[in-house]
Amino acid sequence: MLILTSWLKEFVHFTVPIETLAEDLTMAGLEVEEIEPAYKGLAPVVVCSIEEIVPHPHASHLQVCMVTTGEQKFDVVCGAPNVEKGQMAALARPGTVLSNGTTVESSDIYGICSDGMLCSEAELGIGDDKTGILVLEPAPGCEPGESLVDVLGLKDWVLDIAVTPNRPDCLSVLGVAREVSAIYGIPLTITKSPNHQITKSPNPSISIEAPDLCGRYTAAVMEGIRIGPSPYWMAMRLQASGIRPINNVVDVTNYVLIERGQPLHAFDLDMLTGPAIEVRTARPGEKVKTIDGKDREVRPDMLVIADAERPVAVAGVMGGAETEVNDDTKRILLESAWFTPTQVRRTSKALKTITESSYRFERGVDPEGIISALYRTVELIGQVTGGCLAGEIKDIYPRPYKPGYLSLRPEKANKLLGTGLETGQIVQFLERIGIELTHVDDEKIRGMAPTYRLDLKEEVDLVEEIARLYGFPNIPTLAPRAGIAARAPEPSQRLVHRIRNILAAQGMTEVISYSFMSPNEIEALGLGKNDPRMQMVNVQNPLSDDQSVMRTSIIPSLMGTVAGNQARRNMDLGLFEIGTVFYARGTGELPLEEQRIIALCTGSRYPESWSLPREQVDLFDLKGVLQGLLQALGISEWKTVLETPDGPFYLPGTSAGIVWGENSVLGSFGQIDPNVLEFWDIDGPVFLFELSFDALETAASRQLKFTSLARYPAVERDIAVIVPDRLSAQDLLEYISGQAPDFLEEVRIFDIYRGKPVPEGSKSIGMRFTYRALDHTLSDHEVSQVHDPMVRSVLQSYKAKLRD
Amino acid sequence: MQERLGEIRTQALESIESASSEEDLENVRIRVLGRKGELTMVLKAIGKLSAEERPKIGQLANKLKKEIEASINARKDALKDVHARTFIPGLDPTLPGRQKQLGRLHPITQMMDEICSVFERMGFTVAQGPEVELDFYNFEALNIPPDHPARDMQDTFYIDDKVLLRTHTSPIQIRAMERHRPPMRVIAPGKVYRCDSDITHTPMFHQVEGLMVDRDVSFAGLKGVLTAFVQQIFDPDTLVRFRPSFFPFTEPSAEIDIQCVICRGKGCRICSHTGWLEVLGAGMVHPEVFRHVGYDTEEFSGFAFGLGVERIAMLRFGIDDIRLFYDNDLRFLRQF
Repeated sequence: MLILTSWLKEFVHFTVPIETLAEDLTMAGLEVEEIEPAYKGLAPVVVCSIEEIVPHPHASHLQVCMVTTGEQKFDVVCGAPNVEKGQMAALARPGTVLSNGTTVESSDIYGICSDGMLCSEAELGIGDDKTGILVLEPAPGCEPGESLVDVLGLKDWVLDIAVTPNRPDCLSVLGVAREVSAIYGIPLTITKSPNHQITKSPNPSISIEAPDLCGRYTAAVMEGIRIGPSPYWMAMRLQASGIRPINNVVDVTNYVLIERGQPLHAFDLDMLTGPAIEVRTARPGEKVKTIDGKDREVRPDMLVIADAERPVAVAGVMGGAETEVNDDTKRILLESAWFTPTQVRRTSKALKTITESSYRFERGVDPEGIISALYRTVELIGQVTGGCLAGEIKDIYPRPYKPGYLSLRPEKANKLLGTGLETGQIVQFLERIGIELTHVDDEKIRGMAPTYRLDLKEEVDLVEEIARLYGFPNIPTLAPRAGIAARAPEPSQRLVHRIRNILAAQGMTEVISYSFMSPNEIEALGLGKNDPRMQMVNVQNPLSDDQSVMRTSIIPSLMGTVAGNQARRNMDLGLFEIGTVFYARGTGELPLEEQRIIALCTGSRYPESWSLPREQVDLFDLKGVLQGLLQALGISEWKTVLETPDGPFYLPGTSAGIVWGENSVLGSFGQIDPNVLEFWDIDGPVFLFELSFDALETAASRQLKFTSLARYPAVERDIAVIVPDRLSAQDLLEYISGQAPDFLEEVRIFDIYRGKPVPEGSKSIGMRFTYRALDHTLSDHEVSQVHDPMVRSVLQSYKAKLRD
Repeated sequence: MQERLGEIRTQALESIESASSEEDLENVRIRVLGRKGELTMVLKAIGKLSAEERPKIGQLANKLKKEIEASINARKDALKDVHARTFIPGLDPTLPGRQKQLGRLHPITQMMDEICSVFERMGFTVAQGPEVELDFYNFEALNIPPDHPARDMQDTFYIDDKVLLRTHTSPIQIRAMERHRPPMRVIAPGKVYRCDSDITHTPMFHQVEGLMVDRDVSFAGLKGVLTAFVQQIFDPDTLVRFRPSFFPFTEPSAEIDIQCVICRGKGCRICSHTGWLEVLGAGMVHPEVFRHVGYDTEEFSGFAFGLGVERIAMLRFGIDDIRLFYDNDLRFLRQF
């Protein structure tokens, strides 16, 4: 809300400097976001003295004035009839914003470069006179080079106030004035609009057919209207308030809107058939062409203002073009009404149109202020158009507003605020905001809220008023007293922290990406139709197509991150993300949300260094991180399964599922198929694992248990066996542990070799067996007794040979 | 002449002391004792002196020559010692070390953990809830009925008429109050969504909201808790300002400003020349909210607050574009 301070002063005579006023309003809840000088556009205008005038060589109606600002001389082309040598005038230098919104520039006028413009009052927006340039009378301080704003004392400011939705009463000059009055305890001055001469004239019939949607409708007819531009003071105030002047009638309705907060509309009475006004819901198929030139279909749940035949305005939102006030208008019907806030809001939303009117109606206007606003409008229109009131003002008020009684317990207020205010102080605050008190004692204060304060409904609303007028800084700052109620954090919370830290400890960097994705991205993963990840949650109003669904997988997010980084030449990436995925269920039902952990690596294994080899990461770098994570979480009984039906995006043969316990799938890992990478334009290879948080949480829930440290030395035996290439290491190790030889502590694969002399289709697996007894030092003989049969059994089962 | 000898001595000894190699020392020797060296020239000129001066100066000059030679030799030995102590052929300890790639947590994660831990130290417990929410929990239970203008305060992503992306983590508070009776102290960190995107807005961001309900909770206590929070997250001397505002679910409501961390209150671009930065919203829980969850408004009172994690992180780290958080550019992430 833009508030011009000179306008504000008409209602409340504050004396504090503007910065103090802004600060005090802010601290009372009306946040002043900006203080702008009202004549900011005139900052480049300076006083000049006209030293010489010569006719323009190429244009007979123009003259070239040589002017001085004391230090500098300029040539200015001017067409005004009243320029004379020796005058002091207002020179608008380039950059000046004129009242019509144009900016002055240096320009070539018929071959003469004009360094600015000598302006009239009207052009400067400081007066009505447009017959010639503004000639300044000699006065102390009125010297060439001085700023015009200073010389004329144009000291006025526009406050930009952020009005919260609960305070529609502050969407007007009067409303802000009431606040200023309440803050400083200084009186408010509202002059009553005078009585009017009433001519006799047939009144149009007015009816409200939807009283639940229109609580009050008042109307006045005025005759003898002469449409024209508004006087400068009105135009200036409107402009300062962010409203474009149109004509004197429309301007007055806007003027009263800004001044009183009451939206008004003026119809051209002669365009209304009947003449009649019906406030009713729209009929099927009806349309209104509104003053913004749009044809709008009005639905039967919308309220319209209609004449005898058709809708002529969308109630509370916008008037119609056909009955709009125009240059030939002679008689008008003025509307000042109260429409149900939710009704106006729904209509405004449905029509996707927010106007100064709808904004105020949907927040709530003063039901009792309607008639005084109408009187004020009639007064001003009389003043600026020469028109006068015809007939009586009509006031249809089917459901008169009944303000509710409010009560407040001083003790409760003090308890809630942590203050020790006296009843007398509280009473003072309540009176300042216009509460009519009916009962006061230390137990209870009762009273009635002013009709413009629709937000005051219960005790706590008054507590807030007291708090803000007392001043938040005056309320003490105390540590609250409370019993200890330390609940343990949710286990999942702690697990997320652990996982993050374990992954970061292994050199992985955490990313956080948007929960949105594009359906195309999920398709790029090559998932089957019945894959649950195809059950996407659609966002009704996404910001863009690539954010139109909630992600069902984090893979697309990370692919996007890889692509973005590669585009910036960040090629060596070890990334992870822990986030939510969403699977759609029915309409009106919340989707299923699950947490996923996903990590990937690509690029070089080591940072570039003089001492490290330049090597690409491979599958086992990634699997190492995965193993490290599982190990650190104390999950040991897991194995891989070679089929990954859920991972069509893995390159065949590179991937495996991770299964824990009987059959719980923790996730999978593998190399991303280059065809999938192509969708994101990524340079591969990229290795990735994905884990389900829930499954991991179950697997990690077992308490860690300490194992005694071995006291006797171990014995190690190495063998290398030549086995078929397709025999998996996991199968071989499982077979060995299935044999359960005594004393076997660990089997570690230390070498894999393919190539001569190992026959084609075979590989050599080098294994180191560690044997240890808990109660004595093993002898060679003891070890051989268990090791040798175990080796024989391996050779036999896999038709394997020992490698020499 | 005597003066000249003094000068030569001072300069020569200084040069010897600061020499860092044998080469440097050799240069000093040539400069002073060489064929055309400073001291050599003096010695050569002795013949031209008067008979009285000659022996005195000659003696002094020769003494100085010996002193300088001795000094050069001593320095030479010292340099050899240092060399032996600091150099093994083939090893240069100044080469960069073999560094492991450091993993890092996202700055938002770090900031959120820090924020939560401040409140956890004050006895608040972390609670969580769904990111896709029912309109009821996101709005209605928070005293924002349908068709209420306060809905405009938050641009909402809708899934359908009843389901939306939560615009704040306040629904978690409602869910927590439905489950537990007071006393209650919870914080609700998490992702929230609003349809807005520019240099200060992303469609997804993070909030931490908090709620305290007990028999004796007052606005003064709210000021106490949030002042302590701000001073732990920023600076113990940070000035805090509480000013009236509006949220449908609290009354009285407050916005909390801190003195601008960039200009220290003088006024700058970051604080729009006000000297203040808004960092938190808060207030006393509105009775209507308590009614929705069946808390007795006569017995209990409470306060709630909320903050944007990105905003705090931007102020703390001096980040000027919120979108950097979700670009996930490694050059950005590696700075935290």
